Amino acid sequence: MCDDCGEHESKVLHLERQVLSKNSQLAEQNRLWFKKHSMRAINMMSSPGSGKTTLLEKTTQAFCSFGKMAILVGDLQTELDAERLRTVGARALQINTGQGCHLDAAMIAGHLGKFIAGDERLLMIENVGNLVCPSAYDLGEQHKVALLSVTEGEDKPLKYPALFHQADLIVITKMDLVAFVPWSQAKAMDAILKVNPRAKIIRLSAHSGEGMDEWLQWLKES
Amino acid sequence: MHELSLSVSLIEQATEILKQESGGRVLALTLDVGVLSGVSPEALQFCFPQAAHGTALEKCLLKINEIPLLVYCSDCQAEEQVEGPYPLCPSCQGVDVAVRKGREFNIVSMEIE
Repeated sequence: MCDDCGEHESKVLHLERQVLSKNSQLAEQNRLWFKKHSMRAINMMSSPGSGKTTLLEKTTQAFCSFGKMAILVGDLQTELDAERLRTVGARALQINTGQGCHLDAAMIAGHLGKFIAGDERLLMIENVGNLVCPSAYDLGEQHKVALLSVTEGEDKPLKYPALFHQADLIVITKMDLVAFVPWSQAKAMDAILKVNPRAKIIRLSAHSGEGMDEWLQWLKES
Repeated sequence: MHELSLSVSLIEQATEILKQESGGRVLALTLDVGVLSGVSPEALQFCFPQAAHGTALEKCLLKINEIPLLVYCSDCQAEEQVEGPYPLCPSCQGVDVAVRKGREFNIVSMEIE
């Protein structure tokens, strides 16, 4: 009975429903599409400026001997990253999210069978640079990769546990700068172990090439 | 902060359920939000009324159950509740644990009329 007018009946529904179930359903459709086309989709997440685009530039050049690769790159504004990637020969498409702080499954689904033709071996998805929001949205990827640059500090996994907890692979980037910044490898390992003991870890510098072979091997086998 | 877009998804989901039940408005919503879900309960409480304005969820009471981490430790062979967001066994400090609870972002109940 309604407290205000004494007329309406109220009832309580007991549910167990994901708030993001629509995104999860679309993500599952994306995942099936990737499987049908024997394609690996990798969701790359990190803070802005940790080296995602630079790593993708180097990956484009190195991966071409293994098979076709496409890139979807998310940013709030500009085509800058997609242009950078196309300059080195990548097949890259920019997704502008406007004020959105993450990519979601619908933003990927809209490009399947179109820009993503289906004959690629690998789809790299560069998420919006952000250590919080991308962790809540499944895109249908097979693997999540988190990047952590040595210039950011080794405590980032502890500060943003939800994102680092989900990663199958954590790539420590900018290793060429490690001598110039107060980075403790031991502290970084402790931090990662605390939030995600199962993650594989690759130390890498896109500039010097350190770790690139291991990264490419992981991409091929992932 | 993505809780505004999460609020919009929450309202879409609740409105759909309301329609199926032929209800007029939602009086209260109860959610489970896990500590590792990537969702901030405070930010969600802040954003929800803005997103609900002008919908069937306007004036809806939002109740949030914060779900702590529950892990199964392979070494201790026991389920343990963990304080904080790090999946470590509180008894042996071991890292060989499986997360059983703490990732949810679910609607658990809705009061409608």
